[in-house]
Amino acid sequence: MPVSQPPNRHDPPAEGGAPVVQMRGVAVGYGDRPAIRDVDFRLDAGEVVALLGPNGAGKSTLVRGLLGLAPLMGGTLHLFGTPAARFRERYRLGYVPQRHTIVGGVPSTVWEVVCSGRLPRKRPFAPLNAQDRDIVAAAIDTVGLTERTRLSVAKLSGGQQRRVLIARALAAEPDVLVMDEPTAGVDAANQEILAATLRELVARGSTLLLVAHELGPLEPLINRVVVMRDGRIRYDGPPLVGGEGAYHDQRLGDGDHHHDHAAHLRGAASLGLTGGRP
Amino acid sequence: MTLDLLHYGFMQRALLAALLVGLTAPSVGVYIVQRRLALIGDGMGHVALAGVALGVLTTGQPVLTALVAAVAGAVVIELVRARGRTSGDVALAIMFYGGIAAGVVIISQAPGGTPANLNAYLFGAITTTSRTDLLVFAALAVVVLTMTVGLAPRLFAVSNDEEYARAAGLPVLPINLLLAVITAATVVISMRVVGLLLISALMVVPVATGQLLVGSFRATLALAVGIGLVVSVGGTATSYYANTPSGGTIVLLAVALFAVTASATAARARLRRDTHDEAEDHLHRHGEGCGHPVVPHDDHLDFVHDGHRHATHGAHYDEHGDP
Repeated sequence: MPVSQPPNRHDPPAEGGAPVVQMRGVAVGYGDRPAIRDVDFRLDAGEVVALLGPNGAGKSTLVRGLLGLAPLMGGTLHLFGTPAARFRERYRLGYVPQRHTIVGGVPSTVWEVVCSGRLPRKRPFAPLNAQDRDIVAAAIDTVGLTERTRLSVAKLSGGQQRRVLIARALAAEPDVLVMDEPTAGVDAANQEILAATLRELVARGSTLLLVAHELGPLEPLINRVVVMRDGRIRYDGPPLVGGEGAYHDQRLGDGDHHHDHAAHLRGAASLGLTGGRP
Repeated sequence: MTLDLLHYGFMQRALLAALLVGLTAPSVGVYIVQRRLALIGDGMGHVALAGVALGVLTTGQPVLTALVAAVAGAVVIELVRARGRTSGDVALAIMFYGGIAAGVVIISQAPGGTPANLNAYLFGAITTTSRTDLLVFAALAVVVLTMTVGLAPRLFAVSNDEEYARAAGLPVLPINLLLAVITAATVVISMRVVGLLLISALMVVPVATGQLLVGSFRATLALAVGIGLVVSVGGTATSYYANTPSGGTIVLLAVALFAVTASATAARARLRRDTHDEAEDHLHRHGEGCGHPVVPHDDHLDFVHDGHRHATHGAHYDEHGDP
């Protein structure tokens, strides 16, 4: 049983089916110690949610828990209304990992990598048919890499490789995209292209869960913000007026925030961190 | 010179075995190289030697006991890897060296356990492939190729990004176990002609050579199998004429081909390093009436795009500087 509901968030009535994700009192972690505790989190179809918080707050752990990549140590997790342990349609959650490079020991083309995203929908030994190929081509087109379809991913920039990973997730025709730090380490030009891609997906009615350190150009897309700190959810509600600084005003960004901000000077200015802290 | 080597039954069998090795080793190796586990086949060869020795000592049929030992070793290796413990690395080392040490000690107790005999298992020989061996190798090769070709997309997906495959609901552990088992089968196919200590080279070197020449996974796989066939059959024939151990000859041929290819591609890259500068992230397709002014540039036309000149080059645009 959830002990306390997070502030500013009430469960809306289930409309058009079960929520995409329903976590109640969830703890996720590695070894003996949970990295997140007592997490109540619900994601409904059509929402565009940003999961914010400082490094080590537990954002990625929450996502890894709902994707089945980290073990659930307590609470209940339902995906599309089914208990996670019995859920067999994991491809409905399109995962875009935080990865700067997707280059293995053998060269592979954009087409080959994106095709691997189509597989979970296929039975073993079943080759891709014409419809699958159309879906893969459309996914590559959505991220604007059609001209590079036959190029080796090793020849692409980091930002372009990130877009390949988005296309790979789209190839499974997921009901929701789960993206871990989509803009981290991506140059400004590629961030704009990423934002345009996500804008298009949102316009089509896609459900998005974005783990982010800072929102940057993605900010206008977000219609709900969840802020984590020290393994717990501290804010869950609409984006606050005043941008990211507003969440910091709620004493969420101070303390153990150790990473180098030199690379984020623009973002830092908008976070209100360059001056005095609240 | 007629192909006098084909007059001998042992040579016919050796060449057929070499053919099977050339087909299977690179087709498994491409996934092993992709996940950067190039040395795992080597470890399975070590473990297989213990099985070989047991077979020599008990039944005189070392191929089947080698298969049992290699498959069991492969499953243990994969389960240790799946647990992801840091101690796993040491556990694997203990298993590999335990395997080869047991093999050496047991085989020394066998009636025919001479050093020359051991050499044949470790480094390959052309005279040792029996008719029964060939039948077993052929059956194993059919299984291996059915998996590496039929399940290619799945093996690729898991080898390319295991975490993604797990999140997408693909059965990662069964696929990894399958790859481990077909790797073990390939080690056994190779034990007569290439030898247990050299088989890993034939899984890795043709793939390394192939990827120097092409940019896609599928083409690398096809080219690696072609190279594998050439060096495996060619090396076996050479060892007949040069009177050298077949495994060593095959691998030297593969390494030589790699060295020549690497030098040639490096030289070509140096020649090509000219002013070619590709326009980054070009989502717009230039053409007649696209709105960008066209200016002549030497022998072709450039489009002026946000202050840069873009020239069509295949599927992308080249930066040709400021107008």
